[in-house]
Amino acid sequence: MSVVTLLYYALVAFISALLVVNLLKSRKWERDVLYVLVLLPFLLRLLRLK
Amino acid sequence: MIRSFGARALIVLALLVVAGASPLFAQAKPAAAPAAAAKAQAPVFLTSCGQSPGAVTVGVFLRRLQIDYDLKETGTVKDLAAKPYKTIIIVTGSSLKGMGGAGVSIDDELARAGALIAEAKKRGIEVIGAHVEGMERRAKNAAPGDNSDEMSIDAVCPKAKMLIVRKDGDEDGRFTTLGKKFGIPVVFYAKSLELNGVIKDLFGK
Amino acid sequence: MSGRLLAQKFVVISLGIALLATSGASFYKSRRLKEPVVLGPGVTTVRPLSTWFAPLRGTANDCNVYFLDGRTPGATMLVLGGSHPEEPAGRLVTWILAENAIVQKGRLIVVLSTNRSATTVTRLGGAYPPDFSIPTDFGSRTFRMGDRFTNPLDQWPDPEVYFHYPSGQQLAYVDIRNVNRVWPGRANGTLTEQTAYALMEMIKREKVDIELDLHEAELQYPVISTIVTHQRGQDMATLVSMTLTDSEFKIGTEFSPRTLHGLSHREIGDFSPAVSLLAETPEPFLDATRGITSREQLLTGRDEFVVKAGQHGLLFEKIDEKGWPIAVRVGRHTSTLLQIAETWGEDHPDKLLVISGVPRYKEVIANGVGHYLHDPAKAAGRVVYE
Repeated sequence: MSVVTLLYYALVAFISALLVVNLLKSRKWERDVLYVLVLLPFLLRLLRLK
Repeated sequence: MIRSFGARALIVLALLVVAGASPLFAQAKPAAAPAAAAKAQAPVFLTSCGQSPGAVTVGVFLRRLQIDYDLKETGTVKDLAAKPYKTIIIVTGSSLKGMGGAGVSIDDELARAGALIAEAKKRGIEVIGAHVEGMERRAKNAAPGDNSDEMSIDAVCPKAKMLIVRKDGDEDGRFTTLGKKFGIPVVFYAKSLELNGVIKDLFGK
Repeated sequence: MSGRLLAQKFVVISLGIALLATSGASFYKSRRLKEPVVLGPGVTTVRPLSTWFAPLRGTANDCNVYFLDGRTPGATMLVLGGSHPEEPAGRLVTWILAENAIVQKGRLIVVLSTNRSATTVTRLGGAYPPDFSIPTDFGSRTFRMGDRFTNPLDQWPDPEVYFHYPSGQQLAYVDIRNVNRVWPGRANGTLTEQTAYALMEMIKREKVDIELDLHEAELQYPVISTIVTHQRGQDMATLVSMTLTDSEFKIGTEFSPRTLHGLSHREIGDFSPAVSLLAETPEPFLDATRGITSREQLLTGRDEFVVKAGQHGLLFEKIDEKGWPIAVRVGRHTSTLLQIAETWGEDHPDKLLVISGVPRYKEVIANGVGHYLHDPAKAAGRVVYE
């Protein structure tokens, strides 16, 4: 894996963390659903599934 | 009934003479059929008006029939003057991809074909027009608004001495009408591989 | 956090985990779906692509290369399937070759998964089925459904602009993962570029005479139902096209543009002595106007929306309610391949390529593709996996 690829995975991890934090902080269920939907592809990439 | 021996002998003798002489009356065996009279001569300058793959198709058969030819897809008057060509075959039908690859427009192709025909007539080179790709290479099957196939046909065919056309490209009678209007003989053929026979006859091979 | 909020979070997160688990499991399973190849009597050896370029060893694109050596020497033909695994007809043809072909004279080299990584992913946002099955005489055989591009799990990220090596031509960023845009490849390039490089090394070292890359195209694409040829193959491709059109089915010829770089029909011919050709057959599954993107649509080629597009003059190939079944698409390719071998032989009588055991167009349609796939359960010792 190249350095650039590792950096991109780090970026994905960082964005995922931001999304999780915002998910936990939000109060509206619509926002919760949105955060989960946005988070899904990031987690799939982080877990090297898609 | 013939009773006398002499008469019978005479009849038998006559029959024998007739049988023996019959070869003299037989029709002479026909000599081997002469090659069809050639209507075109080599060397051939082969080019395209519109940069469709049709010129290569014609070239395939010229090569297989060992007819001396040069394929100059973007050939100019200068190329025509480089060798004592006897015949020029211009294959019509345009390809946007082909013209793009050659860096030319349909207007460039029309101008080039016009110049070649004029020069050929000046030099006494026989001009043959061809359309060998059927309706796939007609405006009807081109992208909407693209009339370049018909423009290439109009630039070449009315000025040719004869036309060679794959029959399915004349679905609308375009070439039949053209031939009648300008008094140009049109040789049609049905299947692509039959072009071999057409070229063979044309060059007396 | 109040109890209500906690419950809300719990429900949403649980749903999210469920979605992650089910989708993740589906992606995991389809990436690892095993595709058996029952080696036919004509296969003499199978070698990994890394044989010709060691750095590829152990990567997703270290695919199998199947050699079918003839009894007497002659021409060598390389057939590439799976350059774009979302175009299954090409891959299925190479399966038929590996499982049935016998070479009397010359040699056939067959690659079933030219971009093997691309067979392990489907088009992002394309809603492709993860796999498809071909009914056979003994049941069915299931194949991975792929994409046009290398799996991002194997090569990521893409650059903003992709500069083709060595021409420097600018191509779409995503084409850095398209094996048919990276020829002739690069030894120190990306995985996709290294794949093309390895194949070029093989072509040169194995002295390939003819290379045929099998593809499918959407009906909205003008390069369809045709053989695209390098200039060295023009005469042969033209004759093949005329012979097939006169006797079996309509197929055209297109000339590889000299200034469009990265494609197999251009670069293999430019960078090796091989005559490079590419054959296209129609695949409505790829059309942007298609309806439901299903296994049925993939294999039958029937789509009322694509038919509608045809009625509006938007297509470069005909389609009706009969569609474009997979057997028709595969049969077109097998006949094209066999005709290329025959026509080559007419011009090279001292270097023939004589192949038997491969069905032609009408036979594939009559018997179905699956008739030519064999039962791995009954072929112990002669099964490899793609």
